[in-house]
Amino acid sequence: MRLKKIMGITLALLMMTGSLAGCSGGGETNATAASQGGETTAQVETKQTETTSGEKTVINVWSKDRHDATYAQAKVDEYNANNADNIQINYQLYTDNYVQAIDMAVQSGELPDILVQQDQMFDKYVNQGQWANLYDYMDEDMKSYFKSVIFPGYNELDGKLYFIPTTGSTCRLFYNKEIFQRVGIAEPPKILEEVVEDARLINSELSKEGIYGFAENMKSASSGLQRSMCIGLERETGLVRGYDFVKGEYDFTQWADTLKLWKELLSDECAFPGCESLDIDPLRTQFAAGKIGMYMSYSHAEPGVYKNQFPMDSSKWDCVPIPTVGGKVAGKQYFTGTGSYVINAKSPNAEKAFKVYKDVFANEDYLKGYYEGGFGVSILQSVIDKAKPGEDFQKKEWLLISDLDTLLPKPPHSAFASGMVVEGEDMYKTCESIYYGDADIESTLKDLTERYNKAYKEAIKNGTGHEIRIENYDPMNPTLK
Amino acid sequence: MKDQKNKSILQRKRAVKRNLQAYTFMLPNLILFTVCSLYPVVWTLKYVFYQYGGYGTGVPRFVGLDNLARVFRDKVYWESVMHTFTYGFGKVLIIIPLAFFLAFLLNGQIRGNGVAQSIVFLPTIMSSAVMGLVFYLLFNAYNGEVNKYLMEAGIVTRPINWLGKDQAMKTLILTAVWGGVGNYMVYFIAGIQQVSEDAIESARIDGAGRLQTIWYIIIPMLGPILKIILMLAITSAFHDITNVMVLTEGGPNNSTMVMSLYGYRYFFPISAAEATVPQYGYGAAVSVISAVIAGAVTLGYLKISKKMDSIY
Amino acid sequence: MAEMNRKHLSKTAWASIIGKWVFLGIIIIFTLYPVVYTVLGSLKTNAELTQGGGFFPAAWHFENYYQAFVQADFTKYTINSVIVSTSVTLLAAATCSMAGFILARKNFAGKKVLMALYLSMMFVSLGSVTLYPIYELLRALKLNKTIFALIIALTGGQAANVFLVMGFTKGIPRELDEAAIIDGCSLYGVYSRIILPLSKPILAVVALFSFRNAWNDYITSLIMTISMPKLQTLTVAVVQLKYSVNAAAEWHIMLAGASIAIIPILIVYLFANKQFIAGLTAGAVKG
Repeated sequence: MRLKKIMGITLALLMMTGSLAGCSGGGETNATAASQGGETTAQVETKQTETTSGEKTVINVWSKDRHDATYAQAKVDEYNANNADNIQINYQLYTDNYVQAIDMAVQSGELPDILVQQDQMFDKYVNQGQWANLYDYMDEDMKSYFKSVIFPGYNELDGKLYFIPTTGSTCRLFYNKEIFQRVGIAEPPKILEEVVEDARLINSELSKEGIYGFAENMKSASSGLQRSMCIGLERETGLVRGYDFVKGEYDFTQWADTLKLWKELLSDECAFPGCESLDIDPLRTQFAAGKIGMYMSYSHAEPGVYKNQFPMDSSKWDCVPIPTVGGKVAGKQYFTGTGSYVINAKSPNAEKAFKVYKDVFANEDYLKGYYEGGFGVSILQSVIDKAKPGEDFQKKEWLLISDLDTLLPKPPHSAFASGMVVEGEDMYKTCESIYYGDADIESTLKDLTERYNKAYKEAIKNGTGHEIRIENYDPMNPTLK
Repeated sequence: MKDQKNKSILQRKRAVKRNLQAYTFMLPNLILFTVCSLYPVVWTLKYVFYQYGGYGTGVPRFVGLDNLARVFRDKVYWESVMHTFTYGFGKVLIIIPLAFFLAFLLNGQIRGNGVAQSIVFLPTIMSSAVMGLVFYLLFNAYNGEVNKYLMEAGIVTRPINWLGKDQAMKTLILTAVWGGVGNYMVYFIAGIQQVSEDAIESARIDGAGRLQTIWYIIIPMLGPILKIILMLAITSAFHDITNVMVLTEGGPNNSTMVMSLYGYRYFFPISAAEATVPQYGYGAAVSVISAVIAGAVTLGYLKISKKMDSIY
Repeated sequence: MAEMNRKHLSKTAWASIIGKWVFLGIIIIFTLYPVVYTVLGSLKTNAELTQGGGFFPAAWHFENYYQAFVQADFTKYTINSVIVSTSVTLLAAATCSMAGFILARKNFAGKKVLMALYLSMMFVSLGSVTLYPIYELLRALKLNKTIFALIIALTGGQAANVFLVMGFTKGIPRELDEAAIIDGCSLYGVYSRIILPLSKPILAVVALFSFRNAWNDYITSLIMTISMPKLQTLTVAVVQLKYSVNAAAEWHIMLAGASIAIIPILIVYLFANKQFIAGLTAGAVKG
């Protein structure tokens, strides 16, 4: 009965708008009715934010990082409570679909004032003037303070500075010292063959107890491989994600030896069961619970994770550089700046946003606490000098950025990602078809090479990409341009 | 003369009024239909012929039939079509006999039947996304409940990798059966109730056993409705996407990649960890071909079932 | 007949009854287990869930729900879900009812074309990729920042439901309309006084299933709220918990979230299971 009543009312309302539309000429009225409705909710929403924030300027910040979320939120709360400029920071965490959310926000004019920088979103919108030139706002003091982390071709393009990395990250092999001791492995592996051997040993001796040799978060191949195999390959081959900056072409055939070993590493004889459906966080809980011998991941996050998220005794784990096949070294490995933020140049509050950025996220206290809390490895000398980092950083030398790690130039597929359309599966998924499938290594890699080179050439031909080649490129001492 | 003229004007006026009235009734639905059904289809058909990476990547580039040609070269796509068939037929082959058997058991006004029906039907009202998440927790290899029980009972010693490359599709089908069997059971109950009691009774009197009654009386008489049920089962299996997306994300190694999810992949990232570069044009081409395949299967099924009729 | 049989049950008949309920028992356990696991799990600690524990929680941790509602913002998502689902339900029932009525009863210019379009859209199924153009269109109409975008996209074109209502309306005797017209009813009067009350059963079916679909939907809600997280519905929020801070350490919160998402529909089902089951057949026979 109630249903009938509600229906009756709705229908009556609809009829009213309907009959109005009948007299005054069709869809227009209806459309305005709808858009008026839209405005009302929008108004309600703004009212809500107004009541919570008074007359304050709201600066919206988007982040993609969950490992430092608690720290950043605490600092933001502190700033919100104490700042004299009547500014309210609204810190929003987007762990999921960060790039997609930004795409949609750009289109609908919903982009926040400050965003955590990430390569894909940065590259996509930098040429449209979406990101502010920080030099416009920085005073001389600030410029000289951050001078050491300005890299032309990376964060400074054509004399404009877009973001400032304050911490850095690279990738390492993490291992459980206790497990190694139990099965009698004296030294952490130095070559990839040893990783396989050690993993097999751990599996054969301890799998009865639910302890396994090796794990990687392979639910998403790209997420798993970019923090592990691809990094080792950079040092082993001197190519960046298969791209040869000297020759100006892709060559994945050099990946064959590594992939052979990875296939063993991910087989039942070596691997933690269920790596195929593992995300990184569940993997970390299992590592913290002492169920996993080794895995590879970014160096900046792990200390914080095992200190705050999934507690694990610091003396139980350590890390070493990602081993290569036979210990071969032909190049440097990936390093990236983290802790960087971009400012939305089209925001009406860009200036205040910069102030927030400077006072909160680029503030030395913040950076010191960040490093000390184990959320990232500082790359600023003055912070490193003043900070008292946790014992992890004092005792575990490979957590720090070393001379193995350096900024690498961008290969075509990331320099103009949407301009270069590779037919078929990308390199990560193709590797997956090798280690979780029956694809033949040699022919698959040959085919992969051809597909990438074809897409690259076509991008140049269509004008959606450009030639990338670096004169006198030396993989052991890479230059960005 | 004048009268006639007046009359026709009046008629026309009336017709206009009638049309206006009709369209005021149609309008609310027509708007929804245009926005949510018609426009997206036209848009998709158009972008089949373009290469487009979305906002901020330049204007869409006309590429003619390139996208369609690429679909036919795309090995992974055709594998995903095969997976769709495996999934669809696997699901139908388990769900239809099971649903029929349950309907047979639970048909009739016997105490307990109503409650049992309601319970079996229960999963169909629940969100396949939320339940996909729950199944993910239940089936994960390292500390899922399923493995825990199996290992406690001593059935297995090493955890079974339910979401691994060999088992993922089976697990997926199992969860799909869980979510769908109640639906088809209800269809069958409705069908069985249409088969007249008299026919069943007279068969009994003739000394037919239970199985014989099912085989010779109920199934043939269910014919028409069975046809509809099978068609619903097949077509709906082709469109399942949410459960795949949440439970396996199409992996590992694309072993559970179905064609609906494959098209989706070129529009939106399937997983949080994935940073896909959208290819709207190619995604549109994949989706159109997939729609054609699904349509062809439906038509093919209708043709075959008609032929079967004439044989009978 | 059944009574008589019961009195003279032979051994084989007993065996078949026992066999039936053993089999049904297995099926019922199989069906209920995931649901019970979710609800009971939502009251356990994370350690019980991930490191092993009994079937029932060792202690009943109702604070998990407090955490979900307050810390994980589920109050907001619940409100969103309620608004979206009821709006979709009403919008679907109202628009289908009007369109179904007029298509069943009136001839008008362009009717054949419209019917053909509706029918063809029922067979063209492009799947979730159409969400992109829908989103783009709603953005152009400046609706994407509001919950209206989600409501519209979730309601969808409704072609099948329109035909369902149309078929039902055709079954209502025309004489009733004519009598009403003689009594001086306008077209609207015929609709509201005659057809609407009489088509209540079929509209209840449309409403029930629209509600279920809207409440349970994941992909449409995900896409439509991707840049506006505060508009997320329960289903989206629950699945996103998987990727949230500490997700791996908070299975109990994940299950509390899942329970919050499934319990309301379970309650609806408790009261309306007959309608759900009957409605399904009504839809299928027509469809």
